Amino acid sequence: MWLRRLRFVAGVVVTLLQLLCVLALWSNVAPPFIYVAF
Amino acid sequence: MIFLDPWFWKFAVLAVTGYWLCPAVLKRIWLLAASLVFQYEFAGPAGMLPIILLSALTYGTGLLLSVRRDSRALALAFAAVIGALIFYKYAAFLVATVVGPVAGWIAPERVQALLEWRSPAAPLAISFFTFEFVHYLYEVGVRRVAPVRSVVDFALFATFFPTLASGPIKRFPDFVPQLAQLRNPNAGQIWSAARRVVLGLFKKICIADLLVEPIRVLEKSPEWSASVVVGLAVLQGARIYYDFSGYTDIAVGFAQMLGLRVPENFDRPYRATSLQDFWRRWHMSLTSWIRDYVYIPMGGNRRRAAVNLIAALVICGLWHGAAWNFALWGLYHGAGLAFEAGVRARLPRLFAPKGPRAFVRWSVCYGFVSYGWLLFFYPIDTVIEMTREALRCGFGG
Repeated sequence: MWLRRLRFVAGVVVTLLQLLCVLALWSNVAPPFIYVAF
Repeated sequence: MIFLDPWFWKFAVLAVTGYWLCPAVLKRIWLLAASLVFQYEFAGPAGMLPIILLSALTYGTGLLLSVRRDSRALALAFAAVIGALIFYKYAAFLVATVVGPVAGWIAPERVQALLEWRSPAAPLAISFFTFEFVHYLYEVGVRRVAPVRSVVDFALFATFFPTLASGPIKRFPDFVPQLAQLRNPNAGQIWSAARRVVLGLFKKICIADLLVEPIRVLEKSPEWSASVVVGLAVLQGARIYYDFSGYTDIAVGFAQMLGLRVPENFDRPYRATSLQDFWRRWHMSLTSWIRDYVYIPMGGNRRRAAVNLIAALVICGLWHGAAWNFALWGLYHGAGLAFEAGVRARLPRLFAPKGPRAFVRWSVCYGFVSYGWLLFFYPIDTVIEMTREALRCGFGG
């Protein structure tokens, strides 16, 4: 049961982080660190 | 990408919430109205005409074929659907290919006018809806599957907005029965669908689009050293995968929000350990279409398997666009698949599912597919030059 909850919470966190990155890049306010990888 | 247009998001919020609020009996009508509004916005009135005419023809031919076997009507419907695709997408390419080489010695001034002719802009998603119509006609006319009787169901199959612009290519025996029991998804399904949409946006905006810049940098390199060419092949392969699978995630996610299942397009293709495996994982709705409606009707693996394989893959390549590099990309993969099938028949032990041989096969397959992306994205002359210089310079530059 706790494993299922943990997986759900991890899913929520990952999705929110993805959404944050999407919104940041989409609105052209992306922090330059994203380009550092390249 | 249509899914990144701000208009689409206002439309999507309205279309999905309206669908949830609609009573069950009106859901199909609401969905059809929303799909037509979507089509009107992105294709315009002139762009809607071909899909309406071809839908009516395909639907009518299906009904006719259920009453009596009429091979002439079936052939005419096939010709109209495939002819429309050729007219809009390939006519100028065919004229330039067939007439161009002999233009110099037959009535040059008349030929010049022909060569300068261009098809009108292709209607939105013509490559996708014509393939769905060919599938419909083949299933009803050749395999004797019962046709769709409801006009609304057929129109929804043709114009369903999440998959309209770039697929996945649907099959009507899977899609249409779902329309008879439309209901709102539960909270868990909505959450799963929303995650899928966010994942798709992330793949497109945060991975695929960010790969464009390093690709440009490598393209401007003063020379094609092996590391530049390998880098370009790998990055282009990653970009097209994240771009298209991101698009598919958004389309599948929106369909799930409406309580509908549509086919998947990708199953971790770069994990493939053989070319056959790769083509079972890459753009699956297209490759299964090519298998069912091109490869098998040509004879499949019953006779001239290698020729059929190569021809099917060349058609698959040309489906991506009217240019020689797409045909060459298809030819390259077709020849690779035919060669691999020959090796598999003679040395089956090389294709053991696990162990070091599987790793070697993965490396060969990934290298082959990645080099293929150079053929897909660049003109043939450029790829030849890249390859020659990379072999000459090596990794040192």
